[in-house]
Amino acid sequence: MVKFMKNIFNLERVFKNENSSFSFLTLPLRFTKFTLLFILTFVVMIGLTSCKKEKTNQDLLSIVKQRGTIIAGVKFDSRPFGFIDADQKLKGFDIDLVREIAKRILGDENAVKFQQVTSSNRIFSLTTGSVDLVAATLTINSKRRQVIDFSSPYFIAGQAIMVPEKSAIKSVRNLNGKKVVVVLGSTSEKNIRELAPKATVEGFRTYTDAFSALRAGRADALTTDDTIITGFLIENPNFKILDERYTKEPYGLGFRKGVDTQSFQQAVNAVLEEIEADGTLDLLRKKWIHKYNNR
Amino acid sequence: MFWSDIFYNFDFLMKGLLITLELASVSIIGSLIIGVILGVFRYSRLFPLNIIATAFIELIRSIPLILFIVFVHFGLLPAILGSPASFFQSSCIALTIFTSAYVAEIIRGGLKSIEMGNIDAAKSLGLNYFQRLAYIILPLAITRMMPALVSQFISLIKDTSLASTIGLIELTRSGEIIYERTYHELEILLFIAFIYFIICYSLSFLSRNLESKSCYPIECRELTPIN
Amino acid sequence: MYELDFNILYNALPSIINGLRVTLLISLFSSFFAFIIGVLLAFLRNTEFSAARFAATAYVELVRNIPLLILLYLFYKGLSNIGINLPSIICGILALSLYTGAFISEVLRSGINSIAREQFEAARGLGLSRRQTFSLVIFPQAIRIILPPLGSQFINLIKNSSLVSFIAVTDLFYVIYKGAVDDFRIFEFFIAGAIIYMGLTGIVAVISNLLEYYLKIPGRTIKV
Repeated sequence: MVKFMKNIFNLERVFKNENSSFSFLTLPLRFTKFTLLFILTFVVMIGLTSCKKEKTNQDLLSIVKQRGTIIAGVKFDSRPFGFIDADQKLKGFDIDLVREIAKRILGDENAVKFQQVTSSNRIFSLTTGSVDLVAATLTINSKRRQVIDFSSPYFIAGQAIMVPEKSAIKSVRNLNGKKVVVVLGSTSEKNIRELAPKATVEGFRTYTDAFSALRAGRADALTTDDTIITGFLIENPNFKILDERYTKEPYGLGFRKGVDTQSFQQAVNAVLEEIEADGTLDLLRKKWIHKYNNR
Repeated sequence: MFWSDIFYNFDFLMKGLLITLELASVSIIGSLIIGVILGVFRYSRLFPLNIIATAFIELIRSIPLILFIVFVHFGLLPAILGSPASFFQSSCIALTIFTSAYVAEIIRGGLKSIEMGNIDAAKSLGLNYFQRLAYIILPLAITRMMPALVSQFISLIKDTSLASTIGLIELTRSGEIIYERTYHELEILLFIAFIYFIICYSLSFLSRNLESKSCYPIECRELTPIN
Repeated sequence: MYELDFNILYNALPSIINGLRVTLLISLFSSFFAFIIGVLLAFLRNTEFSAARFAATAYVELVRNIPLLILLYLFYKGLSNIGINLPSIICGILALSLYTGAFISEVLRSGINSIAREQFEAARGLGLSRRQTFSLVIFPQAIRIILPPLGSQFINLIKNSSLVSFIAVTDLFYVIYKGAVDDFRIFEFFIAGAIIYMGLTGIVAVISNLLEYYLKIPGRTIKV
């Protein structure tokens, strides 16, 4: 067996043929490719990040008016705020809100183009300019304020926990040692780590992935905003939502930071004030958020 | 078994399939162009060209495609263009660049596999550079590269499923949208797997036929199993 | 986001190391099982029982022509529909090893079949038994042919292991994505991730090159 191995590997042959003191010099040659890569990566990456195109400083509001449509990032999977219904149409509170804004700024409530965002990429889609605004159950908090701008809040939700109907979990204290699913990129993920430090937290990229995991029995609870949970409960009656709300989550529209978006933000905030004052916002809330007391 | 989901949503799935095929074909063409250039650089004896091509190819080939797609979509394209990158654009560019590295390696392998004897014989027959290229080198090289190229493109069609993770509504994602609503994952996933299987298997079948028609007798002896 | 701030990475370092550990674990287990499955399938495809041959060929063709993501989802979400809830890491290792095993079987099979039939016949003519011909004649030649593609299959396995992050396994890609999403710093995290993946694949490539070098018989070229 040893002879077999020796024959296979020809080690003696290698060292007999080459001057043994110089054979190790061949090793760096094999690593040259390797080290070359590292050097090149750094060079390429630093080079790429230092080349930034000067963004056109044209005012976003005028761009929108010129284009004639508002591009809005909304959720496609969060009932009741943005979801695709059985008839393949996009519906929801956020969708109607954006249409209302379009009606009041551009004059036509169909002058909107909706792009799907998820909790993970809604901030990116703003900072990269893919969308003009984001209406996707976006909670206003100080960490996000460093990166994007918010409108005034248009809805106040709270973080809650959803469990199967027959579950023994009564509050967040029971979650220690259990499996909780969250959605990556949402505020719920950080909060649940503080509220239940001994729970195993699994993160998915979309709400439906997370909810499928809960539904399949892979997790004991799901935590996110209560409005989204209520939306799931409409279609899935054998789950329930726990009564406690652990945080206040004010939803706001998201805008990209910058001087060119200021006038657009002011226009949208003005519309929000208008529709709050004349009751349209309340109507929207009653339409989409039933069984829920607005706080 | 809830196969009715597939019947009701068949047009939606087929739309997704169309996007998949579009993405695959654009990426194939793009990666062929870039891959040939890179492959020739890699094979050339000019040191700067060689080393740039080598470094680039090794860089691309050592990172997972999903990392590259997400990076291109969220970081690279917006930084370079300074403006939004649509799902299709960024997955297209990511797939093209990724596959071109592999195509370059295949082309280099093909060019390298031509024995010097053939080229010497061509030279001794008096053919000039372009005649050699057109009559001797390219036919030999292309017939040797073809199976590997087709296999790479089959792999590309399968990799378009990764574009679903950034949100492009191609075949996988359209199936996801359906089972997100109806929760009948098993049937829809099996159907999508079946569609991918049909596409990829027929392509590999075609490639095997191509291979058997174009190779010289000495190269395609019947590969009988060793009993 | 345009000013690279690598301090963010220091804060996230424990989780990145944890993710790296999970990736290595998954890759090692999957490559082990994939190799076993590959050897088994290659063996089955060369037997004289046509039923076993057909089954192995059907399996290999099926698995090779569907995307790994779909296979992964089939095990994770599809089986949940029936009621079988496999833990996500098991799902990941299962899908990865079944997928890569099919490719490895193809590599092994083509390597063994590329040894000229005359070698086998000559060895049998010399009176060596089947086991002896295989271990003394076929195997040493085959291993030099098989090694480079096999190494590249292991590299592919390491890269494909990043897909298990969609199954909520906290591997390297999951950690990178989460870090990038939480702190909105995509360049730093993804560059770090790319470098770590390059390191992993580079190590396998270097090992494969070294093995190739030490196994090489000088003056012997591969003749078809």
